[in-house]
Amino acid sequence: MDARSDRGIIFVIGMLLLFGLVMAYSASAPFSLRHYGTSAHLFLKQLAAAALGLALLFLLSRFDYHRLRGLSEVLLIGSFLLTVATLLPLPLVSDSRWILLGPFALQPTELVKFGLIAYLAASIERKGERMESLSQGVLPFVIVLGIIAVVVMKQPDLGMILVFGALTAAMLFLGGARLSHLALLGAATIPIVTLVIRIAPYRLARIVSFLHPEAYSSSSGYQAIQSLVAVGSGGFLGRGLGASRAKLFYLPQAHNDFIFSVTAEELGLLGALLLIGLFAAFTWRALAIARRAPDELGKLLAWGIGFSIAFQALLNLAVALGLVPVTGLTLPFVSNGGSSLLITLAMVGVLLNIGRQGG
Amino acid sequence: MALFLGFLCVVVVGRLAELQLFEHGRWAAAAQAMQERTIELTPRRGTIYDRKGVALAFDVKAVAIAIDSFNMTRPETLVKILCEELGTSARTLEPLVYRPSYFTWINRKVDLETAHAIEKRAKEAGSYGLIFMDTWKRCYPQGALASNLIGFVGLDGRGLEGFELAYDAYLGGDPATLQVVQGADGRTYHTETSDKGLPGQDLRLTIDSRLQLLCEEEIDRGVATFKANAGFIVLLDPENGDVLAMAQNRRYDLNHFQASTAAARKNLAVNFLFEPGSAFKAITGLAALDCGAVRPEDRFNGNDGVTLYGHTIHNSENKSYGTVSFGEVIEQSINTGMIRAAQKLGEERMYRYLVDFGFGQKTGITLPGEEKGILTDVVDWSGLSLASTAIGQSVAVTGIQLARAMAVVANGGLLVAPRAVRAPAPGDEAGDAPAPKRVASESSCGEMRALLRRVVAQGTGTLAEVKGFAVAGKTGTAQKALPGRGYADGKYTSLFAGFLPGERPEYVLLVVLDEVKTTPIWGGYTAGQIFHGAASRIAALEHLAPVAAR
Repeated sequence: MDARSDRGIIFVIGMLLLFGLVMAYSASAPFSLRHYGTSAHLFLKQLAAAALGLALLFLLSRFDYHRLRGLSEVLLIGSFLLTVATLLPLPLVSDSRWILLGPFALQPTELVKFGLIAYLAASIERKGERMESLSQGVLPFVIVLGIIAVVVMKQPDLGMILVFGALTAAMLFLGGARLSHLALLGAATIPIVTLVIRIAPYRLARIVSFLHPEAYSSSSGYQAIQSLVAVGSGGFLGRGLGASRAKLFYLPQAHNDFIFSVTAEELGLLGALLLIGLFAAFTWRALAIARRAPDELGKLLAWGIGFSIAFQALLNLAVALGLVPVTGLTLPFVSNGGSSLLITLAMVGVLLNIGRQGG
Repeated sequence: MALFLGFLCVVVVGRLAELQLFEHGRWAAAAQAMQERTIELTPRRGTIYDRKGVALAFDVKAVAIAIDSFNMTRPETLVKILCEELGTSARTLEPLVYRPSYFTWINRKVDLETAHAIEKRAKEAGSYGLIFMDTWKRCYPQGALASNLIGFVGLDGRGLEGFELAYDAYLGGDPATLQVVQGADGRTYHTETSDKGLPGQDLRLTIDSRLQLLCEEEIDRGVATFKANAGFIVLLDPENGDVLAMAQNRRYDLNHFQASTAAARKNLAVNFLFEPGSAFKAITGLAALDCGAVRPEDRFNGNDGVTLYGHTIHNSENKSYGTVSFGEVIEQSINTGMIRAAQKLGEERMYRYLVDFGFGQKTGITLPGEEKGILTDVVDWSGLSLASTAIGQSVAVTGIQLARAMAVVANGGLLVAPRAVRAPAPGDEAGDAPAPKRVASESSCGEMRALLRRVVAQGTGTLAEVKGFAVAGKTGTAQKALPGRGYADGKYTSLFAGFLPGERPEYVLLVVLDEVKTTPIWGGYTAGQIFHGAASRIAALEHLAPVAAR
């Protein structure tokens, strides 16, 4: 076991978590104050989720990742059923997205992400050479992805579908699937892409219309321009920690999906680059762990975990910067939201375990 | 795969740099326009006090009420509440309430109690849409007293007349400017004072409201008695030029200035031009005495008729007086004698004295709309000018000019700057007002005072006498000149300019009546009686010590 690399990724994760908690507090304070009477309300929940997540991280880092092989299908099916449950008129379901568990709300799609990575890694490893076959190697995964996508589309959570799709494609490619077959996979996801694009023209048009402040009326357009105002007005050094104005209810979801905009507004280009640098360092370390993984399963798991976190972060940033339409994704480690933080830290726990067993 | 992520990362960083470095100015401006407001807070306007500290105008807290008709609920209830509380008719209110706008003024000066009642009732009735804003309301506790001096402020808080106009910036101060960061929820999250502004400064007038009231009552009575068109009184302290009262019969309630007429708002003592007639002999006579052209005992032909260039000037009622002393010329107001005395003075010297006494120029009193009068430059004088000017014709003066010139006689030769505002006041910071300029000698003024005393003791002004206070003064009755149309038949200005008590006068009092319609019209009869009434009350009110009658 390489103690140096282990320390490196732990440092990066610690920094990301710290950075995230600071921004989670700053961005959520006005919202908490207004809705709960105290500025720390959401932050304390986030802190609790972080504590729980760290415990989970510690446990999973000691939990032999090979045992996920047997659990992966249970994990995926269980989380999928929970996701289906969010679409049903159940008493504990909130807003077709969350399942309420006491003071916390569980977002099953976050769990699906973890389940999908474990399932893909275990299944690809088992199929081995057969991955080169279209019917046995690629098609089953496309069908699984399609089923999940249909359900998640109902929520609707477009951002998560994009993450799942990219994640599946990346892991299949890494698992030995042929590029031509992946192209077919791409073709299979065309319905989803078409859907995105069907929605995209007006969203894109709105993003373009942000550049003209008179077109404030539409909701997603409003959100996107407020994000650009926040980021752009931050400038090089930012307004200073805590001094965001976008979070004063100009920017909806400032404390979760658009927390990066608040970060860029308060800490400027320097702070934003620091955060991006931390994500890059994390991804780099995750890929290093994958490279040194003792077996195919470890390699695929580490890859999936690193890729999903990096891709989700990039997609979140792209939304905040107006590069793609508003999709509604959290920024791992940073956004307020217990499920996201919990699952992220859990996945990092698995990653650390792979690192421990690696050469 | 790593390349794919790396590529995405480069795109994101590039966009970030574009937004935060190259487009920063634009987005910062957009943020500012959306999140920041500049708020001006109007300071409390200064109070106007009289010389004894009586408040004549002050600000009280009030509420400005407006309506947002796009967001109002239950408008008929709102109309009902506003009608009842404001005492305004529904016919006036409805067009305001139903005007399609986010902001329509309902009433900009509502007293606190009424505003609170309206707010409470609207809330209870579940009616929204009224906008309440703190503001100030100007109050004039004395109503119409000294309205011609004080003036008023308009709805926007700017002075429109009188001292409110003349000292608008001083009284009004400068609004404080606040930079406010507002959230999208409408709340204020950060306030920064970018300009502290300047609070309104108080103004202390030279007016004594008791004397002002007294003079207003006397001029009201006089105008009514003699059926005059208008009338005014100027009361001046001859030593320092303080205007103690400036009263006129035309007044209006400052609290309801909207109902006033332009004529009522004119300040006659500084706006109204008139020919002073024989009262001017006190001035031209002083000039003749001062330069030594004439002695009081010099004798002149006082018979009727002086013919100059084919034009004959008569005595009043065409009387002939034979050979009379200069003293008698003043005492009996003998035109022919006065003209002959003026001929000894000469055009140049008379003109020089009149300029020195301040005629044809503004006195600089800080009241809006002061006229400078008409004193033709001596190079343009006709052959008749010397004669007509000597008896107060062909010159036009304001009340404040004439009162100041009388103060020269009263104080022993000093031309004071009449002032209506006491120090400390704007303009006075630079130092004390310039020392009064000596324009005549002590002795010649003493001689003229003695002659003017004779006017009241035994001449044309006996009705003005106040027993025990040795009033001195000069009567005047002048046919009114209409601009460009010569003298108007049967229209006269009747006046009396004088001072008391005795040898060391403390009060210069000028009474002017415009177009007396009773007979006799003489200034000594009409204005003289008003002078008597006002002067007796002043003496009583001010506890003047009587002087030995001469």
